[in-house]
Amino acid sequence: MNARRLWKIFRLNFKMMYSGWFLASIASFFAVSFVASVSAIWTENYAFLFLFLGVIALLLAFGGGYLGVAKSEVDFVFSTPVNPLVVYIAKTAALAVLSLFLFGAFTIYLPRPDVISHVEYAASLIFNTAFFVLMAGASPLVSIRRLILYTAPQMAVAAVTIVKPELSPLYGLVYPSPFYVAYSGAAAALAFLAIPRNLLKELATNAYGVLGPSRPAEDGDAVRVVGPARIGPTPWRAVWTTSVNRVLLEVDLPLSAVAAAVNYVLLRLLPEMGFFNASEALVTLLSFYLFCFVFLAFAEVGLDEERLWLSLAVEPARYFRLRMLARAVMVAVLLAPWAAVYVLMSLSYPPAARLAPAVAALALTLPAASWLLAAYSGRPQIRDLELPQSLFRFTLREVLAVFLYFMFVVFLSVPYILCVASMDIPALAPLILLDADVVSVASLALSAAFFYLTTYSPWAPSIWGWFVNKLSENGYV
Amino acid sequence: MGVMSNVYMWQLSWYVYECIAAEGLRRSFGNVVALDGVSFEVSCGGAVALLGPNGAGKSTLLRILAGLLRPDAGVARVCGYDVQRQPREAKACMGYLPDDPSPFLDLSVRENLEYVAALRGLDGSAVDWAIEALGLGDIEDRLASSLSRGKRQRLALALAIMHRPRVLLLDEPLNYLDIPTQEYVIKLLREMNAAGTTILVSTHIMSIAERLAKEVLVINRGRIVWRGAVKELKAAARDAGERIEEVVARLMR
Repeated sequence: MNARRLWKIFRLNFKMMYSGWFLASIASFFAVSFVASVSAIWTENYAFLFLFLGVIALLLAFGGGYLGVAKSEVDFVFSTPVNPLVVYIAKTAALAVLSLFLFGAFTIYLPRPDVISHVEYAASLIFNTAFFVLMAGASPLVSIRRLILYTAPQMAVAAVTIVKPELSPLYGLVYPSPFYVAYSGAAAALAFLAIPRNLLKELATNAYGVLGPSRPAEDGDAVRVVGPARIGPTPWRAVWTTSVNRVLLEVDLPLSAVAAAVNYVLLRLLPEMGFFNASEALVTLLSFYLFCFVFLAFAEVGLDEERLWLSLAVEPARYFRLRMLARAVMVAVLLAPWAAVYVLMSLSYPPAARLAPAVAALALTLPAASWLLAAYSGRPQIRDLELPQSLFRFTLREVLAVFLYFMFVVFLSVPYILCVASMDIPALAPLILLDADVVSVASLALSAAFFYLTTYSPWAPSIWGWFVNKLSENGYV
Repeated sequence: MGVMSNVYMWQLSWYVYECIAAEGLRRSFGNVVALDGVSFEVSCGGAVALLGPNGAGKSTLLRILAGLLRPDAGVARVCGYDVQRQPREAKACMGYLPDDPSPFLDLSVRENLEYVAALRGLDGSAVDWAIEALGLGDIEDRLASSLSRGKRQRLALALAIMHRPRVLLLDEPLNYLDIPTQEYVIKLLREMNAAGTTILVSTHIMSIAERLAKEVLVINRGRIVWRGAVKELKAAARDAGERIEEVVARLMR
């Protein structure tokens, strides 16, 4: 295959992956990071910088879903003579552009003494990006059991970047050296070797077999409703049984509990062993933000499998009320371990208690908010083969939706921030803590009001009417 | 590669008498047997309609022939190539239109065609030809996501035929199309068939089968239950004083 043909395949995959406005927003972010990089805080506090790099690494680890196969590809890519590996590499390269931007935005402007260190930095940037996008890109293709082999190394790198940066290949982005070039290069080489070539080869002759309902039982079972539960006869029973599936109970719930426990260990035990350079308050706050974003992705699950005609089976507003009630129960169950962890943490670190009400507020808002944001962003429907109709696309709407959610999460974290501040200003502590209480109560009240608004209020039918209309525009049937 | 392969395929068709061949194809999904030993062949230049009730195995058969699904047993050959052992050669020679196709929604009509042209190693003339052939000129710069279902179907057809394949596998090709476009597409496919393209078309609509195909394969519960010429069906209907759909419905039971 000649270079011109490869370039065209890459260029069109790139165009499918990013909108122009999204690229403009990323460029703006890059410019803002430049301003931040010349500030004293940024250049002197590298521990803070490693926290950001670790968080980016974690986000990229979850970014593999963006490289999942879409129905369009089964229809018109795998039916051509092209090797699926070529398309996979083209898509990975397209995702790498975003990764380069994110890692580069935080590190490219750091001072470096000579040309060699710039070369070492560039090599580290490319190798680290290659490692993350190759590992993340494989994750949506492999079985749930093998998924851990691809996500665990990324998580480990992200964790050590935050906890002990010298052990991470990302360290070379801040302190370039031949050792870290070799280290990140080895990681990239391993990721390249880990490309699921056999699976990609299989797609060339058996795409429907690999991706369809006849795939191995571990995946096929995952989407069935639980056990022998009867669907119906009441609308609530029907909605409940189709809201709860095996993935939720057998994968998501244990995963949430384990992640909460790991979070507790990282936040409470490691600082005592002298691992963290950054302050405990900041690490706790960033871990809360990260958890909120991961949960947003979890909470969106199910929207792509909605069918618009279902909402007409019963009165539409009632259908969505029942669906949101069922989802609220499930989200609350998934969030419960996190609320427990923050309460537990508060025994030794009192400000953590302020995050427990924030978790409760999430349980009230995420079930409806996640679907409304996903509809606004233009998430594609899943019809045949459990595949989205089109490839995931980074758009300005995605950025705005994430930004809106981020603002909400920041609002939820205000009581915690106030509580931390009160420890530094003892004289004003009673007043600050009173403020924290007021914000906590307000956030819970607003979240409850949002829950009411989207379920029982007279405005709920209008909200879900907009939602259905949006899904219809997005190609849902 | 494009021009060379077309010449090569053209020559190949003179040596390979059967452009589509299925030998004992079996495929199950769990306990459900979708295909139960299907064997048939279609001569080069032939046009065969695949008829059958819902769930008879028509789409499964087309997917196996298109090299998108591996059979549990049996061999599928297109242009003389085993689609499992020589998938690149087989796919270079065939075009496949799936049921409910989904083009690349975030690309324009022209970019959709350019993308598949790049995947197939075709030059820009193939894109221009496909736009001309399906009458997509006035919408070539529009995003596929902004098109109606009918226009998306036209685009999907263009993607399937842009390399002027020797074998064309079509799953409900006239879905979503308005009547004038249906007529236009039928004319186009008949012209392609007259020029040597072998067509296997799955449809539920007998009138379409009559106009697109010379022969009919009736498939039911994963087995071929009848094969014959369209004129045989017409004769049977005339003799029984029935409509042709009633004869076919009886065959499907």
